[in-house]
Amino acid sequence: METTSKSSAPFKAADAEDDSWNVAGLTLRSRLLLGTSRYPSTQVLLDALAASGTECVTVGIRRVRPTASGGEDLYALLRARGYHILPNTAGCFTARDAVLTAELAREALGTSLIKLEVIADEDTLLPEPVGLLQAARELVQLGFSVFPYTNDDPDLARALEDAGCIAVMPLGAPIGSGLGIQRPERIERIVGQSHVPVIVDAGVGTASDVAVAFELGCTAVLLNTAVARARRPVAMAAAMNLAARAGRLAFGAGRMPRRPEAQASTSREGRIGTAGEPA
Amino acid sequence: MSDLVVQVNGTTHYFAPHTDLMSVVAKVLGDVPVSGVALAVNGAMVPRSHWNERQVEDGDDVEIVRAVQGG
Repeated sequence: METTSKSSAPFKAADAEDDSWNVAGLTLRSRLLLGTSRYPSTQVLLDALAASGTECVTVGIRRVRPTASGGEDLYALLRARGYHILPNTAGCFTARDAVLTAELAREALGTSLIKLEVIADEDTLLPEPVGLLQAARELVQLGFSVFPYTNDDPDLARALEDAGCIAVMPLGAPIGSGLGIQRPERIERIVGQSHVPVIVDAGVGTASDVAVAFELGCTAVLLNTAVARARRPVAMAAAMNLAARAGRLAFGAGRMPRRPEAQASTSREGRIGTAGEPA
Repeated sequence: MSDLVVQVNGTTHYFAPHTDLMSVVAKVLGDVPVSGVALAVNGAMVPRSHWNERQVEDGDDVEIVRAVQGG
């Protein structure tokens, strides 16, 4: 007996498997972007990236250290595996440094994508909004596809979009904190107002945080330490992959309204028992 | 003529007059990578296509960078 027709199928596999999105001329099937830092080894990094399903990874830009061994060429390693590379301006405290770092990244890596970070101070690693907006405007003028790491401030997010950024990347919590999404209502607000992809960047600690980001309507999630510093990074990367799919499905499914009080799932009609109706 | 004093990635180097940036990279890195590196002089990026013609000057501050692990 056929129990479901095509039209009433409760779940289409395609919902989970074809969930691609577009940014900066790229079509990405995975909704996760991963950082490449702080992994116990290069092999664990590569295995974790594969397990996460990501197609786009971030790298930093730093002085070349002339070592006798030469060392591994991370860029070549990642490119050989087909990853899109999103260089960052991590560690920049001024718009000037961030713009120069972006120009160096474009020259070295042949990409106009830039994850823009202008940081207020070493202790909080929070974005510095004035320099961030100034750098974003300059980089857009210079032809970059700017992914700004920003506070969960809807007004700043709007200003960054107006400046021509192709996405906005509000933090869930401070970089490396693993605290999860601290102010979901702020993220939801940014999602509601934005016409560019909203990518939660920073603060993810475990898989449920990723699911929450997608349930709030975010387009993608960028994470690093939650995988790199998990006891088993590759397993955590796989969990993040599943959480992204679960969160996207839940968002598409539409959650039930929250209620302050209980509501019985099972009908009262036809029940047995001796207790009378409550007064 | 005396050698030029040039900072490269925060370290003092000495170069003969008329040394071009390609030679600076080759000397400091041992060889010139095919790709993956970029260079700034005194806070301004210099495209690789100019490394052969651009000469360092006394007191220049050169930064040579590449991609590293990052979040």
